[in-house]
Amino acid sequence: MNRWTARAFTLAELVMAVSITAVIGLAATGVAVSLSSLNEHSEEYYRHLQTGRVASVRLQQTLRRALLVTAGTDDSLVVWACDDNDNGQINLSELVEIHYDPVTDELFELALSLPAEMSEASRSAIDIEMSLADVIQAAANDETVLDMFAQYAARRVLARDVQAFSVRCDEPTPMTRLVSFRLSIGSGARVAQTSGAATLRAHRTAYVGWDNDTYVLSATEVGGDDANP
Amino acid sequence: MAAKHGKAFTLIEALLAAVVLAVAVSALVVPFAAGVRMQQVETRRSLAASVAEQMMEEILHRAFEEPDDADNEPEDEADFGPESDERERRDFDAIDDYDGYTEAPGTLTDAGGALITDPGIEGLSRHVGADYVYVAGQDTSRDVPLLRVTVEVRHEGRPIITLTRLVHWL
Repeated sequence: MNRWTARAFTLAELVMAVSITAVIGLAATGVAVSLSSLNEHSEEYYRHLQTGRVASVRLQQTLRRALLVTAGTDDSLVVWACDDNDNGQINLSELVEIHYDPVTDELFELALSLPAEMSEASRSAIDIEMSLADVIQAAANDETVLDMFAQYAARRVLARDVQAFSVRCDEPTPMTRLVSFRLSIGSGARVAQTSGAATLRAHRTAYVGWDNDTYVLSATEVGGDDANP
Repeated sequence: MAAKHGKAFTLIEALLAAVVLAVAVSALVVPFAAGVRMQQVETRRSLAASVAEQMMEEILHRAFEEPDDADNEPEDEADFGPESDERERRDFDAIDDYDGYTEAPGTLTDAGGALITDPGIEGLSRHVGADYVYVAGQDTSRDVPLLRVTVEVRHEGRPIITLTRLVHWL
């Protein structure tokens, strides 16, 4: 019996042991909680950053193959994305608009998307040829050129939770050849910023001339110098 | 004396308890710490790729050779680098002007000259090189029509992203 009594903890020892364990446990828990929080913050930041990178890649895809940037503001662009029918002129379906909507926090592209079952006659009536001056004027009036056929405008979201988007062109539109942009994605203090740039690989700026105080798109190269207003 | 012996912890027991506690705490903390570190590395790599791409896009939009060079011959590689009147990056007008261009950490700028302030690019530096290359099967007796552009992003001096593009002389 004496042996058992001698081996047991006294109350003071037990209290001290529990206290030490509690202090160490609390400290370890505190470190674990703060690391967990940091990890969560880091993961969220990384997720926002990846969203920004995906949006950047999509923007670059559009811009790299674009023929002209026909209009641009601090947070929007209108690009002549391709010449599908090889007529050397801008058709409505060849335009892509890039917009940032601060209300929905979305960065998106707008392009004309006609139903496959639509007749060729209707298709031709909608997919009209536009002069460069008309495209520029529509943007200057703060109108989207796709407004007239809004029901056929397909909206492709590039990124959500966008807090800010800005673009900058190396030369005024439509002579732009390099577009730089910045994106802020996230909410509150957890905002990831990313930036990117894209060069128009097959630009048609050499086909843009200046005539009667307006830009015109020529069928042949005009050398670029004639396009300086 | 025997009773006193029974009451006290031995040094071995105390050390064992400390080791057990340390292992338990480590098991709790290390995965979180490793996760945070991995995220930081991936974030840095992602941002490095972004700033390398930006520089490459800017370079690709420049001319193959100096626009005022009328000899219609590729520039001598020994003359690569900015001309005497091209003091800043915005003055560069040909790809070779970027050869040897370097930005130290904290001085990375976009194509418009604005400082890139993305948090996470601390410690990143950007380095550009350009040289002529022949590819397999190419006639090496003729002027080199291919320029190799390399953009490298380093963190604390170590390369973490390297982009290379071949540009053809039209």
